[in-house]
Amino acid sequence: MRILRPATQFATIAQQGEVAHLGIWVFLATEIMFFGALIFTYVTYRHLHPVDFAAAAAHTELWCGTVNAVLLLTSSLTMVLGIDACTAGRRRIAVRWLAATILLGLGFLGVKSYEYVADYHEQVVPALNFIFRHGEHPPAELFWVFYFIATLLHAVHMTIGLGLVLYMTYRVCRGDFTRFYRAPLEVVGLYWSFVDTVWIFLFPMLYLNGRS
Amino acid sequence: MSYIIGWFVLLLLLGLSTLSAFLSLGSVAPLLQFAIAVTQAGLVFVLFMRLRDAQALPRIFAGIGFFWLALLFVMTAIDYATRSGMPQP
Repeated sequence: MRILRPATQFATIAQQGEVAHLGIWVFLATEIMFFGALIFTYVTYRHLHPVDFAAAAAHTELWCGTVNAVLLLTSSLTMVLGIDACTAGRRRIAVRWLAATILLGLGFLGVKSYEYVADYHEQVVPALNFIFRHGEHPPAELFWVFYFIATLLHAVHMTIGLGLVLYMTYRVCRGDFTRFYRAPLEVVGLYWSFVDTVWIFLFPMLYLNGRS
Repeated sequence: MSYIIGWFVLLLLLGLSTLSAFLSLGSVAPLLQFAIAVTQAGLVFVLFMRLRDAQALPRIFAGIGFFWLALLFVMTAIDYATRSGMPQP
């Protein structure tokens, strides 16, 4: 077990943990506004072109989006169970939960990659091979622009999250965290669940429109 | 244990949201789906992101992001709702 000392600017290790928590929430507040603005722009354009957006959205792969939503919601659960196991000092169980989180995250990216290939074959990728189907107008292409910007930004966040969870798994193995100090792991957990929350909003926006 | 229940509720809500897309609900469907998404996000924030046990300051910071977002939404919506004869972008 390593001996924990707070960084020089902190009086105690507990204070260091509190500052880390506050810091990630400040970052997440900027992320809320970042994704929020993107989502609201989508809502505005969908409101202006309801028919074209519904027609275009009907071509998204619904099962991919749904499976991915299940994978991400489950990964948020395994993440928090991993943190709890670490808190209880059960390091091996914590590592298992974190490994499950990584596998679920990789599963998400796998399904997403498959979906991008399917999208490419359906010829719905703007600037690459987009073709208008019968009766479609330019706003249909705008939907796909939103689809790719939103999902790619989300996938970038997922990839960063996977790297962080992997690093945290290594640190748990190394015995960096104790009952008294596990702030880095909790901070990564907050980031991971936030990225999950983004998908909660992207899913109905991009996949559930134009089905009925 | 509460995590498992929360996770189960999240999946249930996901199923409900997906189902609603296939019912002929018209303009109610997107509103319902958005309401479900807000409920799901709230559950994730309170339960998985532990806002339930968080100190006051992180809670305030979590709320501030949504507060500014709400301002952005409301102001933009007011503009679209009250301007007449706006040219299509």
